[in-house]
Amino acid sequence: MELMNNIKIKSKNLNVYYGEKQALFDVNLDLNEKEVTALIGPSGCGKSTFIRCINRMNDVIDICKVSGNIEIDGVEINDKNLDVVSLRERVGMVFQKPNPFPKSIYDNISYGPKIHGKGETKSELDEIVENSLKKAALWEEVKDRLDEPGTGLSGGQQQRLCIARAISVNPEVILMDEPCSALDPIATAKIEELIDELKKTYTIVIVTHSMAQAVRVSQKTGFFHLGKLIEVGKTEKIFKNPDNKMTQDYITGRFG
Amino acid sequence: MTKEQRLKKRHNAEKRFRLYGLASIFFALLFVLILVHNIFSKGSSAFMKTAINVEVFFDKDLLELELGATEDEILEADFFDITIESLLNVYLAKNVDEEDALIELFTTDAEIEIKTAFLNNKNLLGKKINLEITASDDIDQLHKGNYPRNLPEDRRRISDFQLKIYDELVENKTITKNFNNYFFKNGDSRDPEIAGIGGALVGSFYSILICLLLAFPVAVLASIYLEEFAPKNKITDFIEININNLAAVPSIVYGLLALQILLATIQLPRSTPLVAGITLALMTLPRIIIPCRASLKAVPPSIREGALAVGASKFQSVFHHVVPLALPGTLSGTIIGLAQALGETAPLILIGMVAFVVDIPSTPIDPSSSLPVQVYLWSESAERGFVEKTSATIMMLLSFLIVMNFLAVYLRQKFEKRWN
Amino acid sequence: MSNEHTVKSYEEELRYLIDSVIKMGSLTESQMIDSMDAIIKVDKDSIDKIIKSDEEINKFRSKIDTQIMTLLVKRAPMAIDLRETISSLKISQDLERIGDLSKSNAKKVKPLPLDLPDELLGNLKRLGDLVIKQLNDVLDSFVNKNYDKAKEVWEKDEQVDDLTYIAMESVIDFLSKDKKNLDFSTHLIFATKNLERAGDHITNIAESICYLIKGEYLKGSRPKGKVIQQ
Repeated sequence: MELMNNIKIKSKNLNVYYGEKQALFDVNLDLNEKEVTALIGPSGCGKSTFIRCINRMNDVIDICKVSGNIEIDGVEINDKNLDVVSLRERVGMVFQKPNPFPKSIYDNISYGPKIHGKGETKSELDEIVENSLKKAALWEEVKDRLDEPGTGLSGGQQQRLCIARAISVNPEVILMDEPCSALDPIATAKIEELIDELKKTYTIVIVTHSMAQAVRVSQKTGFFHLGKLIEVGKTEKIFKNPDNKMTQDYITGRFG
Repeated sequence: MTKEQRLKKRHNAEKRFRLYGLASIFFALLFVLILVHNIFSKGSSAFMKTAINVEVFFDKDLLELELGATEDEILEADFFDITIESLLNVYLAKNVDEEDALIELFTTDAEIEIKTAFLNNKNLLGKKINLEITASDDIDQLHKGNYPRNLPEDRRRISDFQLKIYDELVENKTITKNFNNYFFKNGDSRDPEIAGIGGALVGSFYSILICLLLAFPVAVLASIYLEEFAPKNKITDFIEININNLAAVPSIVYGLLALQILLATIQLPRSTPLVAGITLALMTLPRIIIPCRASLKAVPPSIREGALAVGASKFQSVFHHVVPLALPGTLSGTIIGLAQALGETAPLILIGMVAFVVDIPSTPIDPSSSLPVQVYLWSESAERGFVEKTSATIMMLLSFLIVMNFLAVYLRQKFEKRWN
Repeated sequence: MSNEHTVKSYEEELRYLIDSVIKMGSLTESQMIDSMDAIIKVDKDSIDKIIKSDEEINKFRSKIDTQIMTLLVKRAPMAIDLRETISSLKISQDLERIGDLSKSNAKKVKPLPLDLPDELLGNLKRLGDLVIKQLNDVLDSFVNKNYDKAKEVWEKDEQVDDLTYIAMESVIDFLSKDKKNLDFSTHLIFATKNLERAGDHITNIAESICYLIKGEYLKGSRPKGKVIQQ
């Protein structure tokens, strides 16, 4: 009998509009704690829109309107009065194209803790930087060149730097929007290995176009199509024997 | 048309285009060279001034000074007599007319030069010393070869007698060309030989400084607000259109604006760098806002998202991440805007900077001139001596502009390398 | 059924694999029919033909193996495609074993006398007919993806066990009547056992087909008839 993890994030009747166009239709999805949930589906199906709701990144898009509920640990986050800045301290994000700040590697990692008041003295910050880089499996490669610009690293290293940056503020949830799509197979493998480790500490939601990657890294998978959540379940079930014909058509390559 | 013919046609079109491009560059360079040659050939002589070697005797009795006299006492003393005596010793003048003619060979500031020499070395009291006294404007121009000698005397500015003296001086090698420090030290003057751009330099400096201090912060903050924080609606569109239009408004309109508001209504002192600075700042504001906004727009949204995702507030993401990246473009835009302001003449004329200002301004509320206005003023003068000074001033102006533009390019490259 | 793969070559490769399995099944079925005929009629001339057709079946086996390797490497099949691929592998393995068993039975015809008792032959024939029918049904259910039919075959294994028991009894009876029957009786015992084992392989195929169709394994243990103690 498998141990079911608690529900960390819960969405209920989530609807998202970009102006007149509706991007998400009544999405009800539970994401479990300390587990990797993969979201798959064709382009434009709403998976990125969904995860951007979890850290309220859709707020920066003027014409985007979100209605419905999203709860993290039982607390509603679609509340106008919610402090978005502290939400994003708890929910970190890694983007498709690595986007390290044009600063030194050290400054990249220390920026988050500094603005949240997490590192008062230099030695505290040093420790945070070292821990974050170690957890992101990047420390050995960069420990001697922390002053060099983050943009000077290779693509895979930059992405791990971004993961370290997300970890540095000690979040509970890490959202990953196609984190490996710009990387070569070796860098991808390193990050998948990292995700395996990270799931012991953080709740991870990963959007991916690679079904093989979804199978490899996740325990739970949700299939989106045209803004609707078509099927969600244990990853092995979804890929070995999905219930819904649309899911099966998508994962076997019957795109019509 | 066969494939080969079509290919040949395309290659020929490309060759023609390259030729046009090279030709345009060639013509542009040609004009620049002609301009530069013109200015340099006229202006380079202004950096030298003609001086005549004169033996000066600091006669104690004529000066009515004792050894150990204070500076004030020296300044009070009358150096006129020893000046005239020393100058007349240069050549034998037989009558008063000839004496006058001889004195005329020297600058009207001869007495000041002798006094200054004494102030620098008070031990000269009772002694004789050879000083290089600046020649008059006419001699200066004659020595520089700008006056034709073969005109009849009544059409010349230099009499035959004066010419005789001059030739003797040349033969004795007592007439020389020295570096013209007056050009940089002195303010404007009726006498070309002692006229300088000192006043205009300081005036321009203060004006540009005030322009920078006013325009830069206002422009940058306005750009940041308009680009990052203001809602995108019809009002902000309207503002953007207006800013773009203001950048194209002829600068003389700003002069009229300054005249009416700053001078007539607020009654600020006219012809001062303060008013010039404010006027230029108004003019330069849109010219800084436009490149600053473009630089802000050019910062990729991924940087902003990265900052927001780590929990930065909008303010923090803009000021900690976006603005530093927009700095190179903003700085080079600012420097170019300032360079343009440096060369502005029309609005400054309207606010009264055409006044004849002799003193070097010590504060921004002292009346002054500015470099381009000085060029304008001197270009209107009849004296031949001002021609070279006008060109020399243009040379100075151009040098500043070139330096500022290089600085803009250098800063941009340096910042871009750091951030990338 | 469902719509086709967007990448047509993928679709073709899968169809080609299924076809190969179906063809291999037909060959196996024919071979088993011929083998049973040979035993019942004690037809010694057809032995070579049957041995030769086994080579054909083995060739199919390697062809199918290669096709499956290619599919797995190229297409990383998911869900129903994955189940079809893996099932095809298992089914071809089982078919090959069935073929081997039929071949082995054909070889046993050689030493048989021409005057075997009718009752004995009758029991053998009944067993053989049932096994052949099972094979036919299971291949049918594969072609038509008929879950119920496959499940029936799976359940009917009980009958196969029962008929095996009966046939075995008559052979042992025949053996005990006359000592000189010992020689070919042992062959008959093995032949009967082979038919039972063929039935087991057919049941395996039925299980694979059920998993292929439903994505779940059949619950419970196989129905078992009487077991022969040896």
